Amino acid sequence: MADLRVDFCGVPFENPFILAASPSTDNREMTARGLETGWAGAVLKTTSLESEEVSIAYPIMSGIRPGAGLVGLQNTDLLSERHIHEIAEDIAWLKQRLPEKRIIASLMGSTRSEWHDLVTISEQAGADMIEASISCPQGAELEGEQTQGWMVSQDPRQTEMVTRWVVEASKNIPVYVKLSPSVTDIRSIGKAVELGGGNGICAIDCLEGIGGIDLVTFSPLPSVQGKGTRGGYSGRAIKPVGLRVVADLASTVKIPISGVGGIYDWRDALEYLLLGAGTVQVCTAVLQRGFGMINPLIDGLNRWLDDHRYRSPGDVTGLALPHLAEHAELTHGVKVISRIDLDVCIGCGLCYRACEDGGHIAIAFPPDRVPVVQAELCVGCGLCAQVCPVPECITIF
Amino acid sequence: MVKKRNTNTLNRSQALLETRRCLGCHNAPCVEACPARVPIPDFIQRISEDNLSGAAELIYTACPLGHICGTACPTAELCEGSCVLLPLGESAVRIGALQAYATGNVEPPRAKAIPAEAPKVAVIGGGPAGLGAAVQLDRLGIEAHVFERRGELAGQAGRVIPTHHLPQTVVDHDLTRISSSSIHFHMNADVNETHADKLFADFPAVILAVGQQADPDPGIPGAENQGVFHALEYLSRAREAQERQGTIPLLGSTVVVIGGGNVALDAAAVAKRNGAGRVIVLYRRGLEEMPAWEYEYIEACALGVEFRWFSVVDMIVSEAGGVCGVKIGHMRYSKETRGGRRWVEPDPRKQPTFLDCDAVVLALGQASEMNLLREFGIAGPKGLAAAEDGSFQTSNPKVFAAGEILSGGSSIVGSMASGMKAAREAHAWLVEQGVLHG
Repeated sequence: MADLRVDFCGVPFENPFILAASPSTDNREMTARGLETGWAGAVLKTTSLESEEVSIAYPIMSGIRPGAGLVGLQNTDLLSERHIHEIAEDIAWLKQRLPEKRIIASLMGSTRSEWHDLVTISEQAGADMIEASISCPQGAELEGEQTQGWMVSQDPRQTEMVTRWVVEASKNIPVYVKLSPSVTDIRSIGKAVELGGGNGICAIDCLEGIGGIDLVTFSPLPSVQGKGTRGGYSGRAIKPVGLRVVADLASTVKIPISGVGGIYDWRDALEYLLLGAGTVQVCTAVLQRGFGMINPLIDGLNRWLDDHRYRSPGDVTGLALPHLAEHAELTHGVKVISRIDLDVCIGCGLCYRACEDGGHIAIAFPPDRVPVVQAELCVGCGLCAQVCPVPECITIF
Repeated sequence: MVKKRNTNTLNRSQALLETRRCLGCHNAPCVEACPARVPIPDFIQRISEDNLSGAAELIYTACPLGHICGTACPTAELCEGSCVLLPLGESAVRIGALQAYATGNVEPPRAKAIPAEAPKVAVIGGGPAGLGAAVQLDRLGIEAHVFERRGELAGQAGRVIPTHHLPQTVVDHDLTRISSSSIHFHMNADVNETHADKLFADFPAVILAVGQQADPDPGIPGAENQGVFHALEYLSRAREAQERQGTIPLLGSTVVVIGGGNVALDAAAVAKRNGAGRVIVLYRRGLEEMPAWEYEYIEACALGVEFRWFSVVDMIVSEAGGVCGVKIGHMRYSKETRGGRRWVEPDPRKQPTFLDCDAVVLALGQASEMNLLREFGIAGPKGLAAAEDGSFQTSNPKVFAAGEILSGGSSIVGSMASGMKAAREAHAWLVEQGVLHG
């Protein structure tokens, strides 16, 4: 089996899989149980100084679930309601109990001195790293700045400034900064972290969203006594956004990146690694499936690395980046068409309808229910393959 | 285009699609229902993630006969019968088919080096229980020596189950995997009374997994006549003929099968498939008390096999050297219940009847061969090995028993799981005795 150990910002991890800051990491026994199942580290739920009032209004979850699965999860959670001194005790407790696991303190302050206090307390408690959370979708306050309605990580100047505050407070442990995807140019924000002296970047935090509307009360979801609010949207649905942001960052900055966003299985994690991530973090999938999902993550990554003769995850970091091109650089004019495997086709006709109404009217569907691709009409757009319910029935080549 | 879905063999698309139906229940009832505790939702998750070898490893770790069991397990009685989708009015996730898919599509691992100076344990019998025991011993670092009386392994799994339920290629697939371990197989090695002493000189512990091989005395006058067959022998000959693609022996134009177990129904189905005009199963109780699995009954009905309930054969009648009919006594439920089953008594309102037939198949269950049980001093009640309830160690502490010789009739997966547990218990005992270090 491959050696799954990785180095992230100079800190060794037994594998690249880290529990992201979430309700799963806001209770030390729970976090310990998660780490014992095989996660290499945990980012404890973001905390603040005691002066910060945190009051969560429940319920906080609203899922997007058209079928049996959970496509996306909307939440209106906040920081931990437990403040830095309590979290520092958790850090010390976890480090003493599980010294080989990496404990990361996720912090959120609003002034330079607050950030200094938070970092110092965390470091003294034994945290292995600091995650500076400047990407909370609920927004944040910042000393002397206009921040109403946006996040620090939406502004390059503020991002650089806060990064500096955090870095200058840390004596010996690395600091990375968690970023929001809700920006016009993620590259400028990544550069700001690098300029501010950050040791790494974590991306992406949740997208901002509204979970839905209750059609009886007109309240946004999740509804708290008839009212709802903007919140963070996470889960499977945000993976393409996360992959794009990590790829943009990896081709812009030199500091390492921890990839987050919609990781459910080892293939999702591997995609993040291939686009430049050094470690990955998982939140929503753990909320849905529990800590035990680490086992197939480790097993699947291990076998893929073995099968492809790679020794460790570090060997594959960024290998997909050279294949990421601008549209103008793509090869144009090569004729590809849709090919339907009639051995597995169930004759549902979904490909026909999609092509008829959204493609190039290139699939015939006669009464015997055997679809026929008309090669001269098909442009190979690929829509039919996406609507086909049978895995790998339709391929485009 | 796929028109039918009646095969138990899934292609890749079908398998991936089927994985989406599994909800991944916590403490899944399907796992609870599996004698081998195969981690079903976990392996299904791995199939869905395109990690077939990982899925197969999970299966084989729990179930060394993974492909055989995926193909021939009575899943409707076990895992699939407990699927949470059933009460929703949906069909169960096709767990058996997914297990067969995962295991059938991975290559067996390469042979391991045999560790020097490993402690040894003898396993008598190379059927599902013996193989389960041997694999488990091997994993525990014990040199397992399997003594098999016949020339092939897998016992009834490889000899009696009709090939349309369990193709030989599937049996061979699992056997290839098992033979890549460091287990020693001694084939055509009949361990009997004369070898027992030598066995204990060579091995500090013995696992007895010989199954139930003897045909019990049916106690029916005329059972020794020509035209009367034993079901296991008939199934075994039929399977051999199927493998050679030869002709399966035609029993007769009207065949009577006596018994209500899976073997009886398998024999009835094979006879019907192979040219018998009428096949009539005679069973002493009603349908609701018949021990055969539901799908065996449905298959037999679909083939046109007839059933006569509350019927026992008082006599098999022959003329001119061949069977010409059976005299049937009619039964009814008595007030008595034994072992949770209703007992029957002759129905005084009904006279015996005569049924014309030209062949009779006896499927009244199997019995233990008593010689080894006596030789080891472990003959217990009901012709089974003497052991305390729930224990695999027999009244002779060096002898552990597993499978049907311990607990009577079972499924392949049940016997295999029993063998694995016996091996763990033998290992723990050897550690306790200081023969092994834990």
